[in-house]
Amino acid sequence: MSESTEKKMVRLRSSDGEVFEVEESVAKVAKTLQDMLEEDCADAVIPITCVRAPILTKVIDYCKDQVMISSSSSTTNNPNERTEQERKAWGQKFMEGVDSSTLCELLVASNFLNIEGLLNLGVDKMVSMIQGKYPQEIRDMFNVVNDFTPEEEEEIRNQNAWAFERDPYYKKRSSSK
Amino acid sequence: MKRSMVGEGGDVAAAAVAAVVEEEVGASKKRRICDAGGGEEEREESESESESESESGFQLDEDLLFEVLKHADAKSLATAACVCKQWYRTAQDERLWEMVCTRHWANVGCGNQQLRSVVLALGGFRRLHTHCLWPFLKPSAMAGASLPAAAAAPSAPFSAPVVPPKSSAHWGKDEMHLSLSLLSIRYYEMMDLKKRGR
Repeated sequence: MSESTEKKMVRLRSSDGEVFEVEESVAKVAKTLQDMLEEDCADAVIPITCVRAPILTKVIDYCKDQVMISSSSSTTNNPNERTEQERKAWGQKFMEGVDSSTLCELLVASNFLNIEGLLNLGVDKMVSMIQGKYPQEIRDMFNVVNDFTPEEEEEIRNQNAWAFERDPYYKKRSSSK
Repeated sequence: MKRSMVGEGGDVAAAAVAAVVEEEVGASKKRRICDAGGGEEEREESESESESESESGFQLDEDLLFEVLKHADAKSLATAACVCKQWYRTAQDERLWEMVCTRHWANVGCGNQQLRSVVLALGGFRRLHTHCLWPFLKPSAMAGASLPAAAAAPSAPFSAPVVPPKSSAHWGKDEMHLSLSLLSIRYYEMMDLKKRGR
């Protein structure tokens, strides 16, 4: 970051053809892009083949924020850019309103671009979405097709019956309605 | 102690493994590879496979799903196994269940490698959790899990546990040894039944 004081720009092209121009420092938050840029094997426009424009927008937002906090921390005397709590709150806000299909695309994008922080945010979000849900709710949420046969499904449900014990369907509890 | 469990006879462990393998094979017969591939191919595949998924059906590949499930609790992991074949395959991974089990143990008291070899010989971490950990963790685990589920089922019947979930989350050596012993007893019993039954 230190050598690029004149704000070199990098152009990224999403899978659907939209071109984004960002500062090199922003692009370098993505380790995959950093490697490409450092090895100088990046073309004039870097194609991000598996990321659509709306997702890339979100990814760039994240990278910009990361650059902002790392640069602001060097100017202020605050050694840690954000406290743990602030970071958490920021992450939650960033992922707020992200629906399940966007989330999946974000996960794929952050994995492909190798942005660990964003991947972690996505993983946490997905874990919180899955938690306390039933299989059918998860399928609906993430558009997953149930490809079990009824027999297979029953067998697997029985194997994991303990996880559904609160459900009156799986275990008729006198206390539940 | 561990030595005596394994040393009781190499064939005890071997038979236990055989029993698991038998079961796993049964399950894997039914598994058909739905789609295992990298991100881009995955999308293309699912697009060509079913027209309804062309837009919103962006599926995660197994590596990413694994990353997600690494952070899931036991209940979510078991639920995930029921979603579809791909999720089932991913959620069966012993490494995930090992994490779930060892999360409860503050001090394992032996090397991870040693623990792993003993548990895997006796049927694996998933079984260890299902049969020998869950029954003891249940009340607090339920209290924890019923919080997010409270919206869905406000008539939560699990008001009894007063213990905060974290207090029992860290087990000592004794608890771990106990659960391992239970696991080995289970296998011993199961073997016996199989011999008599078939």
